[in-house]
Amino acid sequence: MSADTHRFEAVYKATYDQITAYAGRRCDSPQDAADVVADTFTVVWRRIDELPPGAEARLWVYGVARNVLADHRRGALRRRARHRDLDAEMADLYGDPADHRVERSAIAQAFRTLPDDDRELLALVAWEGLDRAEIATMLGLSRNAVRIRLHRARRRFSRALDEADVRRTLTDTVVPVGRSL
Amino acid sequence: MRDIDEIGELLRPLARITPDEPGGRAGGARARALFADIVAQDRDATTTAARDAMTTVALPRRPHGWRTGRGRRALLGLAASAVLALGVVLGPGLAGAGATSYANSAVEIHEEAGTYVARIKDPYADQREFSEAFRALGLDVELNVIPVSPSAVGEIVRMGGSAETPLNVPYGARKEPADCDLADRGCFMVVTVPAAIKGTPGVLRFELGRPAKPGESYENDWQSVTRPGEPLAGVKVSGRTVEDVLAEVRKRGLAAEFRLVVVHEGGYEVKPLAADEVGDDWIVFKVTPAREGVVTLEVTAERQGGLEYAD
Repeated sequence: MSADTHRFEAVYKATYDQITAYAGRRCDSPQDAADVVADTFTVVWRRIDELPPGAEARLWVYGVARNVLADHRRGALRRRARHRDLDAEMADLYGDPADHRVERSAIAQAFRTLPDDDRELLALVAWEGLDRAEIATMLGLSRNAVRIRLHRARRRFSRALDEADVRRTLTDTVVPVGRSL
Repeated sequence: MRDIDEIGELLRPLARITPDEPGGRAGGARARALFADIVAQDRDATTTAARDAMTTVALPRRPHGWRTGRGRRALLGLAASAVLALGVVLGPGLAGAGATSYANSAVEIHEEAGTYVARIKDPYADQREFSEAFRALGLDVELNVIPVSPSAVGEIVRMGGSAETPLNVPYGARKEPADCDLADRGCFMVVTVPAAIKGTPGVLRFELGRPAKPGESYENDWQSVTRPGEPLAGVKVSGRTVEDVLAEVRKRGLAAEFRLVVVHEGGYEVKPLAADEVGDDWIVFKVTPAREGVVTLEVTAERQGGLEYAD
């Protein structure tokens, strides 16, 4: 009987930070992000029987978060009791609004013009650090499908950047190695 | 076209929470509070509920059956599972929706100012009698009264629902009269649920802790015996050696059993473990209640990087 709680506790501890960041990067307000985190883990708890073993667990939780976020954006989620503490934590993460000048940058503008699916794919790579195989697992797609979609997303983003006249100024910077996509 | 590494470099500064920065703190108080709310197993949820019958908590569910195994299948199955759960939940019909009070030998339920008040007359009764009483009033509530360690007696140690159950249900658990001793006649455990849940889809499941009979195993065996009201209250056990913790256990006249913690990525499970297999230098992860006078040491042969040892 306690096995469920043990499993949930373990996956919660292992993924809480990542899911909080995931929600924080995608929600406009800390309140929304806090809701997404709370609802994601409520779903994980409800579906703990379905939690896959091993490395796939984290990707599965990401998948849940993505579904919850989509529901949230559709306004389909019931409002839940406010977790004030979590809100506060989120508010800390969102920091000072004056610090958000990057959001007004040309890159951000170009990124915002992309379709949701493109943005999500690119963000999963750049922000969550997932590779193609992991994204395939998370989204329930074949690797090939992810490869193709990612290719298209890159193409569209590149085009959007060109239109926004963002020069390739970053080619000289050091790029972390180890990720091959 | 820009390659993916360059795109990564361009996008990384846009992340509100930078990719290397943790979004939260899984071990932090806030994360723990949410965790407790979700599994609704903690004192916080239940004692607050006891003080205030209208406490709102998250409503988790422990699903049964339809295990789907593989990750991708499970992911795709989310929508399908919801449909499946709906069928299961709507299965039992709700009869007698007009009545407002009901009693059998186990429990007496009546409506009082928009709240159903269930007084547990016999916590040792056949479990079916509790649910039967709620169903008789048109309430899809399953109440299980389970044997628990002392600190969890009179508390709802776990609650759940189905996919269709509303996320927030104000429920309460208290004793009547307040703070009475359950060993006394005339002291009852009471569970309250809002009348508004009548007619809402989805089953509500409660597990209410009762005192264990002599020798009976506790079913709240995931909770820690370092909680207030437990035999090792306030003692640090997590991360210490078996030898150290056994000394604490014996000092209190308790016996110990063992379980092996098996860590895998994304989780761990506990397995039976014979005492003679355990070395003194093994590391304790958690100590849980087994039955009166006996605790369970959840251990590993070596300190595990994948486990978060409590403070």
